[in-house]
Amino acid sequence: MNAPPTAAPTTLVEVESLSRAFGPVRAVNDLSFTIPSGAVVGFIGANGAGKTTTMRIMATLDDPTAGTVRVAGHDVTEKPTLIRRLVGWMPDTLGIYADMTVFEYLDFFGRSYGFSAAQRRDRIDDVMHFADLGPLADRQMAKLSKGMSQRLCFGRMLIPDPEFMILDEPAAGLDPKARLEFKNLVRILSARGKTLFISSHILTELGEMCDRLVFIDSGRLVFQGRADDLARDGAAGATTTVIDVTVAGDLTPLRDWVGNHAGWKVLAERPRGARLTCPATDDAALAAALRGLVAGGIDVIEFRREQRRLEEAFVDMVKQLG
Amino acid sequence: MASAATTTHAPPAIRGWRGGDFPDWLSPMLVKELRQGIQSGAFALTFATLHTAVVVLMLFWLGIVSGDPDGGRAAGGFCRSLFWALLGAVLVLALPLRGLNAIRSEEAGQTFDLLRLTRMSSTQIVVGKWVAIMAQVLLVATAVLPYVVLQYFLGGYSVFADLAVVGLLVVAAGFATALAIAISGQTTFFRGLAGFTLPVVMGWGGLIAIVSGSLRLSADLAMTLLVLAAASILTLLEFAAAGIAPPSENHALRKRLLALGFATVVVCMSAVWAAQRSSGILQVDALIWIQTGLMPLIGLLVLGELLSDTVPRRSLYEPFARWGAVGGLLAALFTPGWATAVPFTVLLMLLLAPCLPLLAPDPGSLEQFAVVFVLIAAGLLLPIPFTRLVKGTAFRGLVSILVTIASFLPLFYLEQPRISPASPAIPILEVIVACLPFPLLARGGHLTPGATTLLGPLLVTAIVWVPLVDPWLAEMRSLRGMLAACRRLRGDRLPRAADQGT
Repeated sequence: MNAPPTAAPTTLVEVESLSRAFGPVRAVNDLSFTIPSGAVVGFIGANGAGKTTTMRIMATLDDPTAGTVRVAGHDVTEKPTLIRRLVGWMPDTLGIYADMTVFEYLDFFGRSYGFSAAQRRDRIDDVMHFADLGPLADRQMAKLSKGMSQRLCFGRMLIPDPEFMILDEPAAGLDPKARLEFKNLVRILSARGKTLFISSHILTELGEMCDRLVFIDSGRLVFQGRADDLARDGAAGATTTVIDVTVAGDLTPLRDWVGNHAGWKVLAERPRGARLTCPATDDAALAAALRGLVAGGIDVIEFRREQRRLEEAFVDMVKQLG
Repeated sequence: MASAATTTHAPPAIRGWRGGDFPDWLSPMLVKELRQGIQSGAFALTFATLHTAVVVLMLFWLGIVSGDPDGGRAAGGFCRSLFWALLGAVLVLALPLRGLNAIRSEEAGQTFDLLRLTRMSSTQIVVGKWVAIMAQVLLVATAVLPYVVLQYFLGGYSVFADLAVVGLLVVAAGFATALAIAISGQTTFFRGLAGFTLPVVMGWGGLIAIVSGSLRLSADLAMTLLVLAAASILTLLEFAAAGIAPPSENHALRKRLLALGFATVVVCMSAVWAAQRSSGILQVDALIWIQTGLMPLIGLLVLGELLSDTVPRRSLYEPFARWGAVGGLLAALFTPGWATAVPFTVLLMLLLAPCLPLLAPDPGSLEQFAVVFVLIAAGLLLPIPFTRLVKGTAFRGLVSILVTIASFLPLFYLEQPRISPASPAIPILEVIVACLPFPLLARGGHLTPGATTLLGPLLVTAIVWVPLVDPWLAEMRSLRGMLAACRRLRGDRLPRAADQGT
């Protein structure tokens, strides 16, 4: 597989004013974002937000109603054959061939990509080792577990060694161990300079894996940028701060105090404390908020500002957009 | 589990490399289908069942012949019929019917997207599936040859005639398989309907096998069946491939080239037929049969194109943009869409027109042929304005059929004088009927060839086409614009490439 690039990152994918309508339904609505070369970009949205539609257009499997998608400078509708040599696609379903073994499946796709026997041997060896498919070589595809199937799908995508990989909900349905393994594979590929575009509902995982995030809702762009920017207070659109408060004794005084102060809200409770949102966004306002709590008779033992969770940031942004 | 720690070392080779069981030059789809066939055991079961049944049959026959040679001849007829029925059922029915699931299985397994991203074209996918089934057909046909030879020793039947029937069954299987694959991409309802009617249609192979004792396969018939089967298989597989192809593949070009190819064969055969007639050489009936069989295929291809939509993808026009004015002309004939299908249809008719004087034995027949020809040409184009009012090829096909049937209804009016001679004929209606572009109206006794019957259908079609002229011109202008855009982009790209070179 290729060595990491040494040049400064450039834009590999440009999505510009992309729209896709299915009859009266606009699945994607004037969407624009970019994906830098070598980045791992998370693509987040609720069910039906237009993620899969967008990804299929990028992979040349569907045509846009309007707008353009360029991969390495080539329009996906004008040069689909060229784009397909650059792009790897991992759908959310495996794509099963009954009565085939894992090895036969990979060999079939190796042949379909035009590799000679010697090339296939090397590629399949690499892929089976990378995705730990060796022990499964002779197993029938119908007998694979969900995690094994995902690894096989991942392996199939890697056979042509694509530069740009599109993964649609790759971690869906995986147990925690399989998710960890998958994250490890993503890190290895990223270290090799590959560009990955990953969609998921599991925002915290994407936040850990991805350099950049793209949020969409109802086919429209909600946010694009670095995950760090979004998680930090003061990011665009942030109007609240999440704090974690630990108190001595009962939580009732804390609850009462929060209920009596506008802009405060209890997000989650635990035996000796709670996560709260407060309207303060800078240090001075936070210090005043702490003084307010103490003056209100709350026995504060610990007061800690938390990074905004991606889910909270996403919900805030969707509300602002709405 | 693979990790970053192992990435710097060469991975250990997978034990026992098994990827060399099929050579690289074989289609990947064929290799996949054969491997799946081996794994599933369905073919092996069919093969073993057939052999078991045939062996039992032969032993039964042998037993009768051994005991009573005269009685053996009578039993031989029954045993032969049963043998051919079994073979026909397997070759022409059981194996080809697996093609009904060929495309649906890929859709159900959600593997089409994965296949589209490989280097396999839709044609390779479809042909691979066809070849895989035909490989099994050939395997079965070859495996039963010893039993064919055995029948000679049991009953003195002609080995060569029987081998010809086996060949006929293989050809029928090829056609049936292509038909099943072409249908396999349709909706569940249509596939279910086909699954019910196809066995009846394909059962003719079995019937032929049963009556093979009275069937003598002449050279003319054999040549006709071979050529028509090949042409049908090409057409059906092209339809199947076009059905699953992404918009970036120009299947309009392939279908139209196929139609042109068939038309060229028709013209050549007409010329040979005319030469044989004028030189007094015994004329080969196959020439006429083949032409007659090819015409419906040409009609099907052309009609499919006339019902299709334009695909405004620049990548489809780029190859034509490189050829200047000639490319523009070719694009006007071979890019997808109903608008370009119209000049293509006209071109095709002009190409086929010379066949009329070549085939007609006398001037009177030539006039009749000319009338039928004009009616067919007009009949292809007349429904198009109506089909453009609906969306979807299936609906358009339905509208086309309904318009054609509506043109046929006046034929019942014409039949009135035959049923009830006392009914008065209405002259003006007769003129109208004469102008409707439907070939059956040219049946002898109804229409006299002349200016009316030649120009009338064309005039009616032209009148019906008036509302469609503007949309047609707009489509052709759009095509010109697309070609110009391709040429501009090629012109823009060249300086950039030169700059990068410096």
